Amino acid sequence: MSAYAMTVSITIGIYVILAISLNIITGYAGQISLGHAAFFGIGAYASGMLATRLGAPFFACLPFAVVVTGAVGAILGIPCLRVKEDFLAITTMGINFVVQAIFLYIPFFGGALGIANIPAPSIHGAEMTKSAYLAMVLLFVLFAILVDGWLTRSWAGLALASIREDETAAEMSGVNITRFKVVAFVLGSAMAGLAGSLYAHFMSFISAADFGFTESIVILSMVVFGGIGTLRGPIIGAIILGLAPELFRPVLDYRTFVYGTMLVLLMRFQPQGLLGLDSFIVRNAKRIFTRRAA
Amino acid sequence: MEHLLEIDAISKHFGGLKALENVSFTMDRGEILGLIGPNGAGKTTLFNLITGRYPVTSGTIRYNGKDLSGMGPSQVAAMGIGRTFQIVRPFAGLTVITNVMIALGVSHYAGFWNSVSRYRTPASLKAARKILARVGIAGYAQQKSENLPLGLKKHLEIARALALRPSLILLDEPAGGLRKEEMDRLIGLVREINGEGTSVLVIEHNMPVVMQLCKRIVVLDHGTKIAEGPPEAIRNNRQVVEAYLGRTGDA
Ligand SMILES: Nc1ncnc2c1ncn2[C@@H]1O[C@H](COP(=O)(O)OP(=O)(O)OP(=O)(O)O)[C@@H](O)[C@H]1O
Ligand SMILES: [Mg+2]
Repeated sequence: MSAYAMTVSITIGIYVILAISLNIITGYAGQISLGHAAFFGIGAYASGMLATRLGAPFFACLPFAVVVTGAVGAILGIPCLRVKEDFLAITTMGINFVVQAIFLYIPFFGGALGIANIPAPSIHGAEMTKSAYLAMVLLFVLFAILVDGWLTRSWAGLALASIREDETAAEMSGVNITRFKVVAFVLGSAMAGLAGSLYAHFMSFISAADFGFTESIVILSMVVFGGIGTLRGPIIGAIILGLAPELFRPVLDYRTFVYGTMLVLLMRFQPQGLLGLDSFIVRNAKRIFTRRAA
Repeated sequence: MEHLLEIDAISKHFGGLKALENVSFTMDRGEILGLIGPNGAGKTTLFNLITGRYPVTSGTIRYNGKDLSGMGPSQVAAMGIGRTFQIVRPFAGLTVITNVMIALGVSHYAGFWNSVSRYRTPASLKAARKILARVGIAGYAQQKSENLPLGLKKHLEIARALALRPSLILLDEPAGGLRKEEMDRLIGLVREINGEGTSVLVIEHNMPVVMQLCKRIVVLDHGTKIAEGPPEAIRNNRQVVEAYLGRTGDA
């Protein structure tokens, strides 16, 4: 595998984790978020700053980033609890701009210079190779998939689904909707923090520009394109949309245009995405398989 | 012995609108109590107060002697009060059995270990199927609930309420929008559930249905209680007749 292919794979792996994490909040719990990159950024900054300022090893920075991002997710989730739909979309977008501005304008966070020289992880004093890093990212992807699978099979996952379907009916069925929305925000944010840490130590340089609103839309596009509310959807969405700019350069230059147009078209013609429940592909695949079986 | 439900001098104001004003009545264990009144009388609002959806403006609601004020809807549900909605609200995108599972989870949503445990266990599936069979929709378990006809959606809402193992269920116009046969099935079901020990507070516009189901009726009009008593007395109550004729000639 070439170094280039490995770089692309690591980036896609990080996007898969991001898409899975956003899908917990937006797909499972039904809470639209247009600011997911904020949590990606908080994880990256928490990890990068602990490493560069205090010289902490990667394997301490990563859990630190997860905990910090989860905690911030709980705090920032509070203003999100009382608002729905359009208002929630605007609130989360606002959170993204505020978090990005804090990174950019507060000197403690390195200002416009960002955080540089974030060390790559090392094991027994030897710096991790790129292929080892890729293997580690894939392990964390697997971890995210396992957490997701556990969630959807649990009573907590069922509670999230009920909130997505109908908050009032959920409450009257015994679901404490405040508690479970916080669960979704914390879990989704913490997982985005994990992705942020992996990103920071891979890039070695991060700045506020990496975690803007555009990035949030990219992550959301992956979830929606693949099929929101399923596990396979965000994975496939992140792989295809992560690969697209590499295979087809113009996509990179016009990324926001391409993704924006795609979102509009999907919402109009195929809101289930590529592999969502009831999507065109899944419906036809089911039909073909049942015909074979019959 | 104390009453099952005690509505004590309840008022609910929405800004200047007095949706309920100083309403009191009680309900005994095992009873089917009817709640009637013209449109906008405050019936659904009373359900929303009992279930903790809105806080009361003044007054107290006691259930099994316990004051419900300050409790959220999920806590009230966990105490064993189930409800259905005037305009049905099933979890539309989920299967019928999953709808029931969600309410069965009421005992699992509190503790951490409880809520992270698997929900599809042989025991929970069996319990859900039993409830579906109880309301006569076992054959639809795997259907998406939005695809059910209205009558069955109403049965599903009752199933979901029963999954809370309630001692009281609140039915908001269960017969509304149903055809005669559907209505008869539903009345039969409510009777059976009541026979098994669940008390029922039912809002209903269809007078024959109310008269068939209830031995006692409370009448609201403009947010106040104007009458209370057995069906015969209510039917012949001048104030009640005027309340209905005065506002909606066709009621
Ligand atoms: N959330 C709310 N905010 C403001 N006003 C409300 C609210 N809920 C109910 N109301 C008002 O309170 C009054 C009583 O409404 P409610 O829904 O309780 O009537 P109802 O007796 O159930 O009538 P119907 O037979 O038409 O269902 C109405 O005037 C209604 O507009
Ligand atoms: Mg009503």
